[in-house]
Amino acid sequence: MAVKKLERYKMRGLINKDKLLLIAFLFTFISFWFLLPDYAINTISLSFCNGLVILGLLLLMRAGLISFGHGMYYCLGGYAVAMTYNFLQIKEVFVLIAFSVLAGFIVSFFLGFFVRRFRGIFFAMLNLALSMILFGIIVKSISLGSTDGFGIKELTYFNHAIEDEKRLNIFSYLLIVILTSLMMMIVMTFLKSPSGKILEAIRENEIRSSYLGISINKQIHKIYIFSSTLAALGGGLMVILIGHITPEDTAYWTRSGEFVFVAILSGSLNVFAPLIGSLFFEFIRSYALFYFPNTWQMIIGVVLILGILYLPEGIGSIFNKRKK
Amino acid sequence: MLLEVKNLNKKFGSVSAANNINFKMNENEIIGVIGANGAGKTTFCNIITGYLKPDSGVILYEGKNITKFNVQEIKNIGIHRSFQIPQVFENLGVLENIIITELVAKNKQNALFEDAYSKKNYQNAIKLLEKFSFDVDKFKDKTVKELPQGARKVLDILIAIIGKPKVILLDEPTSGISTDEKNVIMKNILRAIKEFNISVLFIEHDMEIVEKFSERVVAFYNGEIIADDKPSKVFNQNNVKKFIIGGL
Repeated sequence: MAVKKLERYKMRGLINKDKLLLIAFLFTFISFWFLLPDYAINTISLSFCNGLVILGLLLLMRAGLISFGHGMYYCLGGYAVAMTYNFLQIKEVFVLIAFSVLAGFIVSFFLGFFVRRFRGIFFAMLNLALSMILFGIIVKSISLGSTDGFGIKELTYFNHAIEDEKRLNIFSYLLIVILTSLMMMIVMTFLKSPSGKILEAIRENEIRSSYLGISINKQIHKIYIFSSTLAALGGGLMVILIGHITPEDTAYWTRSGEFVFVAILSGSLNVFAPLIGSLFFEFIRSYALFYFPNTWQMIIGVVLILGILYLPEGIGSIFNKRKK
Repeated sequence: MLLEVKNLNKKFGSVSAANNINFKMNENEIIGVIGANGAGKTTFCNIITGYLKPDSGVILYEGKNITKFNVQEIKNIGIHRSFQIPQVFENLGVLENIIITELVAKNKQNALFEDAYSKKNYQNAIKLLEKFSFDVDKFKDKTVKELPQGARKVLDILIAIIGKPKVILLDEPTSGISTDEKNVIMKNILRAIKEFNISVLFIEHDMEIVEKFSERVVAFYNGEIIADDKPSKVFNQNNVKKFIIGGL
């Protein structure tokens, strides 16, 4: 019966191989809560928060762009959660998440009018500059927490206070895994749609795209907002997971560089790649730090070189075949 | 009158690329544009399609002033173009190039809830390619960068035709193509274009092609139009022989 139903959904195009894979991905990671030790669950959760930023970068990469300043939106999302919590005394997780998404959306909407006119290295560096401006503003403002940042304490889920005092509990884990999977589903649907394919046309040939009647700047603006909002959501979830945010951990250029590093390592072939890439990076970093505390950056560098040599299209190319 | 250009001027520094150009085009006309390199043919094409703005002069399309229109606006009113160097989506497949073009032509570039590369869209793309005598079986599974020059040229022109424009500007449609293929390609393209009632302005260096396929010829020299008449008359003008086709 269930098989027949599934076949019917397949026929209508409601379920395809990628969506089934995503559902399997979701349930696998939910089951990990019961199977893996705390440190692994913590690494997975943090990877997914960062993975959302990489997912945002994937969208830009589809249009042939890269941002060296996406840490800015990660920071904005995180600060939106932390400041709403501290200044408005709102403890409800879903409201806090809504504030982080809203912060990313509004700021990227306005900055988008400016950055959408630039391409290539200019686009990348402009975002880096904006990120460093935000970093400078926060560091020099006592009211914004300066270098100490902000912390948050107990949270509520649908007005229900959590008794578990640990930041990483089943609720925060499920929230991160489910929201991440939902975003992957949205991005996957978007990339398959005409709207998503237009990005590939822009990346391939901007002149022809213009002559087809595509408004390039508007399309780039749209994708910039989408991408930045995902990064802000990642930042918001990270604060809920860790309970603290500082400008140095989010808006400083090294953080944005790390996101670009993982984005290159992951590639832009499919929506699983950013999350797998982010997980891979966090585990490599954890083990490298543990076994080679003084030379862990070298290990990371070697991994990137191997990735470029053997997987030039990124980790995603392992399980992505060109479809005809 | 479909398209009219009045007193058009464009300078790049001290070089005059368009010098007081006056030009008229009627519906369903096929006009060949000739001229030596640097005569201003492509600049003329770029100005009409909104890629370059003229220093002065007016462009009227169906009586409407379109001088300040940008590339997208020009495309949306029905003036399309192909390029001297094919402007296609190199790393995408042949069918994907057609599908994306069709989606934009159907104004679906912002559609979110449909599969762009659906079976139906692939079938439509194949039908369209067959209509233009494109060797579908040979090329449909290839990316554009794997195509020979002739096929790339045809694809570029096909992309320009999708969306059924009223005017199409073809910039050297047979450049880089072998002599044997030139006639076949031009015949196929113009047959399909005629079917859609599209007016054609094509820039060409091969005088045989121009003579064979155009109803009217416009000759450019140093940013000026030095002749505008039927092919037989233009080719017999002394200044055309002297500056463009040789033999004087």
